[in-house]
Amino acid sequence: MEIGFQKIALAFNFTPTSKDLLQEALRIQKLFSSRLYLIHIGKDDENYKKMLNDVLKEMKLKENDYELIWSDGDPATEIIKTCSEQEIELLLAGALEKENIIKFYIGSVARKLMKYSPCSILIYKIPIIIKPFRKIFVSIDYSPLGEKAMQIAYQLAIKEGNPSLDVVREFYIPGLTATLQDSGDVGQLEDMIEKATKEEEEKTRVFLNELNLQNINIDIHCIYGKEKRAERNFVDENSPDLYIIPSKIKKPTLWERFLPMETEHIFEDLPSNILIVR
Amino acid sequence: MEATHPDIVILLLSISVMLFAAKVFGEIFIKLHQPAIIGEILAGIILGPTVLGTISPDIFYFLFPPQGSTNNALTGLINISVVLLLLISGMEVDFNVVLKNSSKALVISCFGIIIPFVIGFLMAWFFPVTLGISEINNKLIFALFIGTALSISALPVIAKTLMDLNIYKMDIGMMIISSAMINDLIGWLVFSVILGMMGNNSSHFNFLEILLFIILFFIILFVFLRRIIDQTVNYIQEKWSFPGSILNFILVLGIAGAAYTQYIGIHAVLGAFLVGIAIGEAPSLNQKVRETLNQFVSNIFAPLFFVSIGLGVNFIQNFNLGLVLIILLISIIGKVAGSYLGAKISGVDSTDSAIIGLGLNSRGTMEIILGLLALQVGIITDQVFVALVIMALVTSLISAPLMNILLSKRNLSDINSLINKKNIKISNAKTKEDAIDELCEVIANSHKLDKNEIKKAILERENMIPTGIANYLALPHCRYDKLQKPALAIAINKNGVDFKSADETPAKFIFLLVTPENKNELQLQLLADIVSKFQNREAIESILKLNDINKIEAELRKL
Repeated sequence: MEIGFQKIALAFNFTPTSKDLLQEALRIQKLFSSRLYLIHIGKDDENYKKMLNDVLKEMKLKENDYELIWSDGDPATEIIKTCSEQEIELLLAGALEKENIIKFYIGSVARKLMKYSPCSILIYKIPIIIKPFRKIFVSIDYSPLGEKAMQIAYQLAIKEGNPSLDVVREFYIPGLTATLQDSGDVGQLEDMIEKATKEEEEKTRVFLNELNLQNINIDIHCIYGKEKRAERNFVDENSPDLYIIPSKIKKPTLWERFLPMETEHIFEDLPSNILIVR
Repeated sequence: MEATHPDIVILLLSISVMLFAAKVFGEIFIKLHQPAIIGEILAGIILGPTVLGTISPDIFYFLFPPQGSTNNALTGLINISVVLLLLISGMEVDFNVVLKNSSKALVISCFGIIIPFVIGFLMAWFFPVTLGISEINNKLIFALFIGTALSISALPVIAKTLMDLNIYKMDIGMMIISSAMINDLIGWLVFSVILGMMGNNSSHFNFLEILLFIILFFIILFVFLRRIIDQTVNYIQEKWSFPGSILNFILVLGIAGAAYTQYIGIHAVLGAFLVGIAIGEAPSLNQKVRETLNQFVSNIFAPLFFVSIGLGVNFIQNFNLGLVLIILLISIIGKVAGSYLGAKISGVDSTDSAIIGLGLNSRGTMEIILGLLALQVGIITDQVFVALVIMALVTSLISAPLMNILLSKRNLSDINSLINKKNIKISNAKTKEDAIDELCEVIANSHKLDKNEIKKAILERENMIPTGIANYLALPHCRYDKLQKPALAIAINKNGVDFKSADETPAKFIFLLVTPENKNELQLQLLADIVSKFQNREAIESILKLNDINKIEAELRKL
């Protein structure tokens, strides 16, 4: 079974990076033979049209190669709406590496998209480096969404011609250190974590076997920690070209504000280009 | 009061004696596979008025003068010990995990709190004299305290028991741990409210104000500071000297929190406990830091505290058998029955519910701290305190052996419990389809399922990727929605059938596994367990020589 992206969309504006983004979008479009949608939020004025035409001409894009959608309103809301209406499967957008106050507005659009986009979303770290995703890390859990993330990572790695793929699985045993308070010793505790890590690796291996991913070398990293923090540190150390994580959309209920979603800190300061699978 | 030269010598001497005695007795109990705190409390009883004070009062009063600067200094040190103990206890209460993953734990702990609380409250309310109180004007607070004392449980003892019984990572272990965490949290909050109601003289605030301040503290800590604490922890761990700086940060925050709650008129321990939770929640916190802090407190401060228990109270004079038995009885009945009921209501079967009830019954450290604080503010008498300490120790001692008995009767979801001679078949099947057909029949019969449906699902999965593994093992499997628990059937086929295994060995052990549709992780766990069994080729080949199903069953479990 091949999971791919039939329809991809690029959130397009006229910042200095938009040409790079467009070029990347075209690259991804080729990989998956998808249909490309360009979503631009802003007033439909002549000036913009001319700028856009210039860019598209420069990229040697013909009119049949893409579909252009103009919309006016709050950028994040409009992009999300368009993605739902057009049944987009993958949305591409750029994000600033670290936001300062002046850049906050643009950055916050990316952050909203990451949280609430109805489809999978690929966020590029800026400045964009146009090159294949050679080193891909994928975070998994054993849910159906985790399977989907793994399938996508696999497809992408194969299409990019990569010989290998890194799978990261974070796990945690709550309250374990409390045993030290009652005559437990560190050796026993660490043995247990080590044993649990081995078990987790075996589980991950079985999980991957079930997916039947052939012709690729998969490295498994099981990491003890919680809420993707330890995983995040591991990813930072290895600086991949793309980091894929499964993450559902969550509506911010009162409860959510109290207990923010676990991957949120990843969205705040991107470790690399990131593909959120949903 | 200024400490003189000899005062300091005595203080240092008494601390070193306390630590030494605590270690010796603690270690003896560890060797006996019992909680170290029993040894530490015993050390205190021996050093205290009960033994040393009776045999040689001179030495006792020399080492532990009842008043003066040495006594003040020691009291201060012990107060800090309790604060630190609660700080590390809080750090392991992971209520984020609890709330996100386990609604069952919530039900279990609610019943595990409410039922013993009500029993304790009613007992204390209607029979205050039996429970050792004569002053009637304090009756409400006393009854509330007894209720709380009976409903609290001790995470460290429980965690260690689960680790020793090797059920920590199982469903049932996680349910017990999560419930214990909720239990601890609610127990301490309720106790703080009681302390607030006591209307501490030194407090500047009335009860409602105290309540308001606590709620405010809670909200600030868990809503506004949560992210900031996490980021600070991350920053300090990465940029400052490790692990010194982060340990310092935790202590600074913990002790400041303790100072705050002490100031508003509750008790320092609550602040330390809540700050502990907030820091423990921080996902950035390095596991090494947790371990270091736990060792530091558990081996230096906790023993001082537990020894001090025996120093203050004469355990023989204040031993009231009737009271001890009553407290023991109502605490065990209340806790075990309450948790059992909670587990039953949330759909856990009877054996497991009983294991959960017994697991949560350990009171250990928490009870003793609670008891001591109540003794200090005069809610309870020495006799009640002694009874509570004994109850804490007895409940901690009995839970592991009792759980063990029940665990042996339990149907674990562990792979070994699924290996059953009734589902092992000596087979002569020649083809993969025949082998699968036979095993589907075994499962269909034993679980009253539709054989054809299972077979279809198994073959679908098999056609996707063949399940021949290596070392003569094949693992056909599927998920099936009409199943509540996993089902396993095993065929031993001496001639072997081709399942296209990686090492090209014919499958002589065919494990057909059907798991419930929605339990992805359980399926992976069981498959991983089976694969890890088939590593030693010699042991595997020796099983093939056996003909007796009983022996085959035993050997497969041993693998």
